[in-house]
Amino acid sequence: MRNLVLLFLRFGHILLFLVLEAFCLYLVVNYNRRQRDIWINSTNIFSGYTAEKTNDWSNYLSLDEEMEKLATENAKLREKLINYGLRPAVERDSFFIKERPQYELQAAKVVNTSTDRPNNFITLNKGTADWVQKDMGVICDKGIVGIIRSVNDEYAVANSLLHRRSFISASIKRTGAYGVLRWLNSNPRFVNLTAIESHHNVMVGDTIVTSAFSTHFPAGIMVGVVEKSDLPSGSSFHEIEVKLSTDFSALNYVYIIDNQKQQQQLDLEKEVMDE
Amino acid sequence: MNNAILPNLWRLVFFVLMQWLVLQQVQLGGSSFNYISLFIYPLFLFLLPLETPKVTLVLIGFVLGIIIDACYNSPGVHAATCLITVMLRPVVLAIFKPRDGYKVGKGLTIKSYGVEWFGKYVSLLLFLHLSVYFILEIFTPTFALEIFLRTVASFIFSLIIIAMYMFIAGPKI
Repeated sequence: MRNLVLLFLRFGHILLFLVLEAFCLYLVVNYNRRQRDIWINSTNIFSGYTAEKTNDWSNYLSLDEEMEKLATENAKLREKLINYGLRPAVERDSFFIKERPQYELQAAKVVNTSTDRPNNFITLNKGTADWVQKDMGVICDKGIVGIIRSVNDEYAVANSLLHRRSFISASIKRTGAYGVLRWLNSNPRFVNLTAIESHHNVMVGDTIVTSAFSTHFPAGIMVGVVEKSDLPSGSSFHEIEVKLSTDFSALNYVYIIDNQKQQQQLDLEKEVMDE
Repeated sequence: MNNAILPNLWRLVFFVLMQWLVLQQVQLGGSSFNYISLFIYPLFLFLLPLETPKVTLVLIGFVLGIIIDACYNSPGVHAATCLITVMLRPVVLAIFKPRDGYKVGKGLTIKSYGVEWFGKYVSLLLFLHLSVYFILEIFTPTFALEIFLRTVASFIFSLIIIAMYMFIAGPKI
């Protein structure tokens, strides 16, 4: 107790000063018009600034979520675009049960990928829990990516186009001539378009898209442009090098394509082949 | 100590009346350079006896500030300034401590410690007082130049007023 009194005797004036000074400053900013306006304005600027900064941060932290949302929305839009061309010429009556669209897309995030091996794979963060199945096609915003090869509950692994055993049907957009895409060299920027017969006209700069014969992809998905075209003497096929529009070393979000009619087509073809 | 109370009380009344009725009304420099304000009341705080208890000093500063604020219709501005001034007073006194120290019972005046000491002491404390005052009065760093100009201009002319008082009245305590 005595110490407390001594303490007060020693520092009491500082305490008194702080209390009175606080009171005076309160008076200054509350009862002087100009000072009050400046005070309110400054605190507004400060609180606005802090609110903006916290907003920036929370935006930054929820960026992943936003990306996911946008990717899903993009998948929906792309699905509409792809199916738009497949609509029957005559609109059916609304009396009929609405058909499911032939192609359904869903967005997936690439969790692992490679480009430097002879056979490259891409791991995606969607699995059977999201109805992903083997043999579904995978595309990205720039073009074709690959085909799903195996799936578990949470993840799916796709054969990249950069795989020795990937055979994907593609055609030259200008002429409609079709061939097979194969990755024969080891440059991840190029693939080869094989089996284009020699009588077709191929020019450097021709656009290559997926053909209508593929059960994995809708027709018209971008593959790339012809970089180099050769017709060796005596050969009946062109040797075409295609520069890929997809950059496999910078994949982030991709779309998995579910072709509703894939199984029907395959079953029917198998039936005929077996005869 | 006790015989210092009455002269200080008279001085308080004189300074407040002077500040309120005369100096507040003076407009030096006209409309083109209205940066000059005259102050004499801070001198009251400078001249308070050395032996004044610190708590009393703080209370006197607050009361004087509130009185001046009532004259200037600026609640809190002068009071806040005076409070800071009385807290700075011991610091400034320590800076300009004479070689043989301060003497008990002697006022902090020209007569006790000489013109040079008094000039330094009052100049520094007055400059600090005016700086704080104009910072609180203008209240925005946007006008830092104006704060500085006003402080310097008011400092020079207030110092003249204070010097006139000290030489004419010549207070001992």
